Amino acid sequence: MEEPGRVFSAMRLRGGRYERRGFPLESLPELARYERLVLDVAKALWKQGHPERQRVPRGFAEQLQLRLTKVDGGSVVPVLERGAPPGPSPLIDGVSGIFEQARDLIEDTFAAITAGLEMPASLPLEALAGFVRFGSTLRNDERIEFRAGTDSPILYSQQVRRRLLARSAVERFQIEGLMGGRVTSVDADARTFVVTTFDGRKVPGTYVDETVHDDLLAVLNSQAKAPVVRLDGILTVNAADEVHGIDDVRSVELFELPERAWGKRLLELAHLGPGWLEGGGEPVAFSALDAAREVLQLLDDAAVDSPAITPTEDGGVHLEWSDPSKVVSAEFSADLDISLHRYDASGSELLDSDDVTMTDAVGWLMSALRVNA
Amino acid sequence: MTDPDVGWPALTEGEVQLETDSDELLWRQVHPEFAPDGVLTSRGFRPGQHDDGCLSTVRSSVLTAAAAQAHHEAVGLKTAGTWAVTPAESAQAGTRAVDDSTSPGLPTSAPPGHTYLDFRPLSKKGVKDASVALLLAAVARGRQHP
Repeated sequence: MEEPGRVFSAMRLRGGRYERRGFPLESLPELARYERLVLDVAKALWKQGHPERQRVPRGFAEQLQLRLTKVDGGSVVPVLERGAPPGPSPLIDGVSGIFEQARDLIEDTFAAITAGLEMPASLPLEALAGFVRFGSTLRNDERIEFRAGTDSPILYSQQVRRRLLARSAVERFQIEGLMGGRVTSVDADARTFVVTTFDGRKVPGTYVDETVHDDLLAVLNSQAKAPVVRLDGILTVNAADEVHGIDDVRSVELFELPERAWGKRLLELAHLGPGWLEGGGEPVAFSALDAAREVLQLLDDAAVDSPAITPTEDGGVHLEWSDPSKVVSAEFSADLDISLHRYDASGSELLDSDDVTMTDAVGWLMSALRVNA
Repeated sequence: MTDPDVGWPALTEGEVQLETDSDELLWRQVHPEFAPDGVLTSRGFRPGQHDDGCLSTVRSSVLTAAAAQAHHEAVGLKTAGTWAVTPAESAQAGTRAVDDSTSPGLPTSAPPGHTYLDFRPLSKKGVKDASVALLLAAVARGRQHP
């Protein structure tokens, strides 16, 4: 029989979704981020104590093993326990107690930010990225209480998180994410490249994977004029979300666009990261961007005015043409479902069955916008 | 037009439906992504996934447009500006305007005079129609702040 673990964190989630019964599944990533934060801080602390070492010992992360074992009532109280690591526990120098030390340092940092005090001197700067990630899904009426049930509980909210971001504005963090831009050079020997962002900044990048190398070269050699890519990797960003570098690129998606105002707008959408809508909002899928691009190009050829282009919360694209008496819109979801809507003095129409094709969409839009094909 | 038979959820403690014969304006803050280059879209008047069919607005009898926007920004939310509709326009669009500013369930970060436009009983098409009708009313009035 498996041994029970030790309760690791006294955390309580309050407000908003957490005032209802049960644990909202969409909040589970927040617990994973908490574990990652503890791990990042613990790693940084270990490296502070072992300046001669570049990496933590093998098996370090397996020593943490946080598990959600139950959810207590009274707001939502996820009980996180530290389980025994699988297999024989390796002897790792300096690991004993380091996760508890990291947990306490995290809570001290949250307490300092909340109280408007300086962050603890022992906080490793390289762990700040984990703090930035944690709590990103909290809504404005929700908070996470640490040291719950003690005389000095700590309330972490989006407001506190923003204070943390503002304080760390001068710092740069590494986070996993997406960026869009144009690849302007590739150095195959050094496995580096330069991507130019939509606002004209040149950002250095690195990659390891051979397939990424081939993809980058293919983009560079593409016949398309200034093809745009979306890269998935480890971003070095500041608190204003400006990307200063991208490393360990895992994938390269090509996105070809004409030099039109609507092309620039689609690029802006390609650049939106997760949480663009006040903590919610999915990154816009390239599939949806591609569909919108195709339709916009056809309508452009037919001299149709450009629409307003917005992202949708679930990673789609919404095109909208409006005048004082009529509004016509088309939405393309990440799964390439198409929804067409017209509203004017004569009534309204919604076309969004599963079998609406791109051809249907263009024909319908031409008709709704009164364009002679 | 608001349909009395549409099957509105019962109002809860602290909620009051606004009369449609008032001239009061209901301020609506619109996220910048939903008003690209300042062009308001119907997305700015459509409840999001986490709004449970209730679109937040603020009563002009309680806060000015500037104060409503300042509150919105003070709690860390983004806005492209303040637009407005009346309770009558809300009803015309097929929604109802409900003041829930004294509701015990309202988050403490909500602005004074918080009101919501109730989309809950509407079909998918009804939601789109309503958001467009609200958009047209708001655009006709023009941005109210800044």
